[in-house]
Amino acid sequence: MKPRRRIELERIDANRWRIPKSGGMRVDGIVYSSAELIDGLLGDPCLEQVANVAHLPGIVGASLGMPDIHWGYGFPIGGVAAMDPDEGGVVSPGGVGYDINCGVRLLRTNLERADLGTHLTSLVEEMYRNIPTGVGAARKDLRLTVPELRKVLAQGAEWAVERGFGEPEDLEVLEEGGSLANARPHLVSFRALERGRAQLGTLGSGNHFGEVQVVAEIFDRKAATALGLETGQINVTLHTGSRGLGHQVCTDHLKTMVEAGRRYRIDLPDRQLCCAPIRSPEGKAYLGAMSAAANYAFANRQVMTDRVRRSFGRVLGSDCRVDVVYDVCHNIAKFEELEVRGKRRSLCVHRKGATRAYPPGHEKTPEAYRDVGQPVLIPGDMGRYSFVLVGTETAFVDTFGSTCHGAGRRWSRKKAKKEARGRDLLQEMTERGVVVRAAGMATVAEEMPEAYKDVAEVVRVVEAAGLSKIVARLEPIGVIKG
Amino acid sequence: MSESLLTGYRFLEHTADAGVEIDAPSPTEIYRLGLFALTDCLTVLKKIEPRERHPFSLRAGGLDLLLVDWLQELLFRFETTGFVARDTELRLTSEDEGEFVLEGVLLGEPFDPARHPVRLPVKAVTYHQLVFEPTDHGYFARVIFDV
Repeated sequence: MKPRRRIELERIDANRWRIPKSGGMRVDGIVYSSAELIDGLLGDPCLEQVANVAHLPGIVGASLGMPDIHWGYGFPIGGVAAMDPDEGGVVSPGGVGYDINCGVRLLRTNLERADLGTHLTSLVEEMYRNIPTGVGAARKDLRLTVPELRKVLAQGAEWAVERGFGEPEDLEVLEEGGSLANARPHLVSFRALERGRAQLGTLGSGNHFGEVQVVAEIFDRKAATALGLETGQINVTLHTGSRGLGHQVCTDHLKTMVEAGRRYRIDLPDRQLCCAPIRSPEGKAYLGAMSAAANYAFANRQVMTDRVRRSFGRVLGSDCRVDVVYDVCHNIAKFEELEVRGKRRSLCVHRKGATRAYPPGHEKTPEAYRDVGQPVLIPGDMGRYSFVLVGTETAFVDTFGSTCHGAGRRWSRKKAKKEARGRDLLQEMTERGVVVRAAGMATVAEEMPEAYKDVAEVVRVVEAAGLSKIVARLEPIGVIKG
Repeated sequence: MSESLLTGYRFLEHTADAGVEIDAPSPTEIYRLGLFALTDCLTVLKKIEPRERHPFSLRAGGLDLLLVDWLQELLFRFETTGFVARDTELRLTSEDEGEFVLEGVLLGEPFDPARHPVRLPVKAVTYHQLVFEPTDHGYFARVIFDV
């Protein structure tokens, strides 16, 4: 897909590029990127998408692109935009994406690599058995009635803990406590409920994963200590979202918004950006249903956490402890109290493939981490590494408290599959020291390490731009995929 | 000549997602070829047998919006009941105020992992760069899938 118009790009400093306001743009676009990364974006539609987002009514400051920006639909992936309801601000389902509250959860254990001994393969197998993966993965042991599902949508991770899928302390270290208060489960369609009934506690397919990792390097000792991370420690990262339920909520409301956009006479360069004023009936309905889907995703990751704990317990014994470090959303729109040019404002922040990165001292940062900042979890690819960072004051002031979310693809899925032909990828991963268990080899091919950009460059740029501080690097040793 | 040219649809390649462009002599054929393309994206079209018949009826305020609804309907059935469509008998009618109705029967069978390879996990049908327009030879459509 080629861009439809030429995008002008001005360098602001070593890590920021401006797309000046022109035509129907209401604000500038600002892209965080290095000279190396921006080279790969020239001619890519994602820069045009940053400009397109700047057309949305009520947008504040600038339309932002994070260093892992790439082509999405409507918003770019790695896009951030904040809207002011007092200035006619809109909410756009395309600014959240289909996988509402797709996010990442990091779990730490009291084990080191040596403690796993020869049990790594058994552990990965046990996780694979306990967490259904793949297209349309469903649970036979957890099919919810509609009233029970509505409770999940109202309460999020709290529902899961009340039902025994975790411990109350888990909730203290989740973004928004694992539950968005403005969820309106009755606004979630029957179709969405149908898709969600048997998918709680499932991973899904594509780039979702569960990874057993080792803390390979600590960069910030004080922050690492606060987060309970030590070199050599075994951790688990889970990456998944709201599954079919979230997709259906997005689909339902896109349809409504396409029609609402005509009624409110909102002229946009791409229909996937369709939107409605935050205070309109359509805007409120979307925010209520989207928040309910976000709660489903929080509950999904909480149920999976329980399954990881059981897997470790079965394979490594009951002395094994698995605690939640943090849980971040990276596809979300929610009201946040932010600082814009020295003034506090309540804005509806859209993060599409971007992570909240609140600074030390912020009341929303869990007490245990308040001296160091909110944890930011940035997965890379299944062969190299992932990073843990913390949020900063600069992010709070400059990017509506936001930072990057991952590596971003380098190859198309088709190209990755072509490159994989004739190769034994499972064997290659074993030789790299990574045990992989997947529902299908096609996913392993699509998700091979070379198919992704190097996430180290992405986190280097966010740190250089002051948006986050790198705390630790984690290396995978076991992976489950869809 | 490749299969995609013979059948009137071709897949678009992109780093994160997938899409399809369709050429057909009539709007009705665009919808039918759209079904072929989506099923061929999910699995291998020719391995699906038309063993079951399921009725459907959809309504939307434009041919392009109806194309998104149509493909979304096929995806919904696939995910919730496992039904994969092989073909369709369909009728398109236009009503007042630009409304269009697409109704008919889907022909296909339940997805069977033993016989039907999984290709691309399409999760949704988007409005991004959606096109449905007349051409010199009939109609052209483009639709992008979320995978």
